[in-house]
Amino acid sequence: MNKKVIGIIILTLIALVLLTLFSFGPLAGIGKNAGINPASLKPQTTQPMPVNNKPIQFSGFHNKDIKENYYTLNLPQDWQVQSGQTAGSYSFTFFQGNGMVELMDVPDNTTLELFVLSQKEPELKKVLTNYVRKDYKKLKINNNEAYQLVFDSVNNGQPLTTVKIYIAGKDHAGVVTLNSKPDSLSALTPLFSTIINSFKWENNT
Amino acid sequence: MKQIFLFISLAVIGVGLYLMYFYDVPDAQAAINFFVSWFFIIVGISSLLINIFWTSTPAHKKLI
Repeated sequence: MNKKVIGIIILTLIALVLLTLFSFGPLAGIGKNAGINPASLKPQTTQPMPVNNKPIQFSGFHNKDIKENYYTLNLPQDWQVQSGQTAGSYSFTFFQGNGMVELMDVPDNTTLELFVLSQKEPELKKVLTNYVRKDYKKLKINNNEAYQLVFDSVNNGQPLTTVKIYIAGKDHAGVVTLNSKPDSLSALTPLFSTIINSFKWENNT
Repeated sequence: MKQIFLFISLAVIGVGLYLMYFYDVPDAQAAINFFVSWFFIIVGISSLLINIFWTSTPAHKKLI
């Protein structure tokens, strides 16, 4: 073994130690660009839209957290919206309920519908108390395939109805979750559909 | 023997590049994919360099 080979082996070992530190150790996260973009948290006021013959002022959120999945969503201005825990997500509360918008990674070897029915719904059944599916249907939202799941569950002893929409996107899917009390769902349905129909991918070709 | 070693080194680098650029990684496994792909690339390149700079010493020296 000559000196050059010994040098290469030593450099390789140093590189592997640094790689481990960058991947799992104290240096993990340096230089990664998967964070929350501050621009995503600055909503733009949109024109009032009629919901149930009543004009409602919306805020347009332009999410620019994940490069391939920039999106826009309008939420009523009087809802309390804040950034979610992961990149590309928001959580919000309103008088009759709460909800969230997030991006969901869908593997390339499956379709969104199959992924929702074979992975996501069983997960919900496992996690939620008294999960009961009320409705499932396929939709088109701004020319994107979407799947709407409506279900009942019990959260902290309170019955809850959830409308969950999975919208197909380039790499990730958009997921809009709206929770409300079962008796206020019918009154909220027009507002919910206005919100859902405002979801638009910004960089779709 | 040297050619086989060279082929294996290139294959290891190829696997690393595939994992880095073409493999669809679930979000939860991004750190593992980062580690494994760079591991293959580093080990592949270093074994390639070792292959180039390796000078074999003769097993037996002639006494006369």
